[in-house]
Amino acid sequence: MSAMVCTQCGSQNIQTDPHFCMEQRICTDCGFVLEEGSFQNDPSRVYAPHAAQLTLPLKYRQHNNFHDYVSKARRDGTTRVEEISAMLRVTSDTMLEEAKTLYGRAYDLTALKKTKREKKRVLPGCCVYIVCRQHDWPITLSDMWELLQCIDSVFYSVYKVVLTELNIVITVPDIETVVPSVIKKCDLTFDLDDEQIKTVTKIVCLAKNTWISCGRRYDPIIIAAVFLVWKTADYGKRKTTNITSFCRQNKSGRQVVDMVRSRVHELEGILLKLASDIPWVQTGQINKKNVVCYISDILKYEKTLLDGKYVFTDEDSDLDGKDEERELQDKFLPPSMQNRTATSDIRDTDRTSSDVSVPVSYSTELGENDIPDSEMHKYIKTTKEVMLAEEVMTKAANKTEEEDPCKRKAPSDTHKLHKKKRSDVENTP
Amino acid sequence: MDGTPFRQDQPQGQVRPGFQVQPQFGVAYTTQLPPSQFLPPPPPASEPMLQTMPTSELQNQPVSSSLVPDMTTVRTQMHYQPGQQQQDKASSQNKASSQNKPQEHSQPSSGLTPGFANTPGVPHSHSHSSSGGTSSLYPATPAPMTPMTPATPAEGSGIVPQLQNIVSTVNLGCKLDLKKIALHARNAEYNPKRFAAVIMRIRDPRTTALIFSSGKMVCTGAKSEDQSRLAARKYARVVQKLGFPAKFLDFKIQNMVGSCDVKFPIRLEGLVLTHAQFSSYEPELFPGLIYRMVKPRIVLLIFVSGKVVLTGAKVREEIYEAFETIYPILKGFRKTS
Repeated sequence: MSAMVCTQCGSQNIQTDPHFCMEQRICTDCGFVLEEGSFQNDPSRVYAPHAAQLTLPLKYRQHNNFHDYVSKARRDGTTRVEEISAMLRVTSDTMLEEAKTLYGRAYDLTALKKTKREKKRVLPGCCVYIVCRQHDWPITLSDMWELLQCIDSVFYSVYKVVLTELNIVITVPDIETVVPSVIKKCDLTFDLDDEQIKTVTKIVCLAKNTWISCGRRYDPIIIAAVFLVWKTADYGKRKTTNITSFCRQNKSGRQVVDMVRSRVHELEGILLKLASDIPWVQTGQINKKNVVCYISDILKYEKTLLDGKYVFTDEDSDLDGKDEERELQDKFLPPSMQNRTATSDIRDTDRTSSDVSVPVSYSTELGENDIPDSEMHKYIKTTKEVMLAEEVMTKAANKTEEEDPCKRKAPSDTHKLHKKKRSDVENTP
Repeated sequence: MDGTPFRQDQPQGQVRPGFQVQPQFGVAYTTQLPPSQFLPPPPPASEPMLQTMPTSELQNQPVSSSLVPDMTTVRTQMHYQPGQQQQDKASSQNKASSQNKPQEHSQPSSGLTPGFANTPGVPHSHSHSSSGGTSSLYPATPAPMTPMTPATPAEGSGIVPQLQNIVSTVNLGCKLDLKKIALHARNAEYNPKRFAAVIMRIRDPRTTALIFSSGKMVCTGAKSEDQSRLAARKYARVVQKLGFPAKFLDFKIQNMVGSCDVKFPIRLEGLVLTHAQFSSYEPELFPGLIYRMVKPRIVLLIFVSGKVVLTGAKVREEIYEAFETIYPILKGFRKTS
């Protein structure tokens, strides 16, 4: 009930004053407090943030911005996206925003909700990689693995989920575009000038044309090309350097060194084949060791050498055009196709091959037709064998029981000497 | 590789008219042409032909309007050359194309339009096939060519995929005591700490079975459907002889794996450009290209040596159909120059 008249002095100058969040009705003439506000009936204190009048547990929301609430994990992930972008030197704001949006969408995917923590940790990196590839950056998956220090299969599984669920299509970069970044990544002790980098790129293209790079990792091929160019630069001093010592400069792992070695051999084989077609090179003159000296000639006339159309052709050679073409096609084959024998193409002649018809019954009841009783001994042990097996198993079980208790008892015995039981302490008078 | 590559949820395609081919090696199966929606759209006829296309090959091959452009145009781009050459070619083609993408940049910048890889839901047009796309970051759009087929539909490939593995399941209809089975059966192993099933093997047909205590069984390793059924029946008979009331209920083939060899090398980079919607190629991780065909729903592993592995089939005909569908596509990617 609101008092309009002060009970002490009788004046009607009553004002309401919020005092320490409580409203008080005070007489302005004498200062007498007529009424204090009540928490219960004050309508302004009813908490109803939205019309539905749902009440959620307080700890799961913030009081004032319920709709804009962002969980800590999501915020941390977004920060991680920014960090990874900074590490990759993504300066564009557009790309950063795209990465953050993509992360927000990927975060909500049901397939990634209940996954292991390491997969969730990798998700920001996946989003940044996808955005970089959408803008055609020459970045490869192996760069991301090294950056994030994660297992390749974990990264790839998360990456695939994001691509399929969000319907994104990403292609790998071409090997030529990746050459400069791989050379930079290798951190070579020597510098390559532009001309040499161009030569490396041309050798990599040659590898692509001759099936060496298809289906294989990029790094070893590029390092192999760099090795050949480096050798050419100072052939006299460097002709005896082997691949292991070269790769030691790059600090590559052993697996990479083995791959580089096989790529170098394959590249040298290809260069040898091409160099032998050069008219002014004598057949006995070149071998795998000195073929690097002819790299500039080979690359200059690469197209002609690959097509097999010689400048000086005899008239007779045009007769068997088809055979020549087939031979040229077979001249450069992927390494996995090169050592094929005729027998590998013959169908499996084993009696269990798919074309052998087998009499089989379709009934639900099992009987003699499936395995005759006469052959059952091949599938089921005799009683004697079963007894022997049981004996062995019980012996083994006993042995483990004997060993384990001994091991367990020894430390506990020694502890007992030093440790006083509470009951001992309590019971002593 | 992670264990998920063979799981895919995609909408089914439309039903296409099928036709019978000559039965090969005593097996009759239906081959169907790939629906046009699953291959790059045919080029508009008004645009000029590529200058780089070898005209001799064009003349030799019949023109068919029903099929989608084959990948012969891709042959022109197989000769990879860095730098100037591709940019010149690309710039001449750019005039004809509607999309005008910037050429190679020394440094990637943010202001670029999104790459061609960013168009979901649309199979990649052969624009990317003819651009010789290597050094240029944005392969120029093509110019289209008159649609051609490498072979007429009725020919077929002449190659039959061989089945390598069949996985089947059956319900024995009763609870089983795995310890007893492991003790009494030959060639059975049971390590409950490692895996909660008995692993049993037989020599003829050479198969392996996983027998669970619920009575369900998985049989793997057979080379044909009948062999898988026979092997499963043998395992069930062994279990029955050990004293359990086993039956042979709900036998079902869950997965079939086949393989074959097309005998020519395949340009995986080209295939992933033109069929990006279905292909996944990560040389850093796995040397083969994973092609997820929509109809039939089969996953193909395609390798540079020409070997193809087909998996995910429930019936044999799906494998044959998938191979007949992919063969013309692969033929388009065989030559280097």
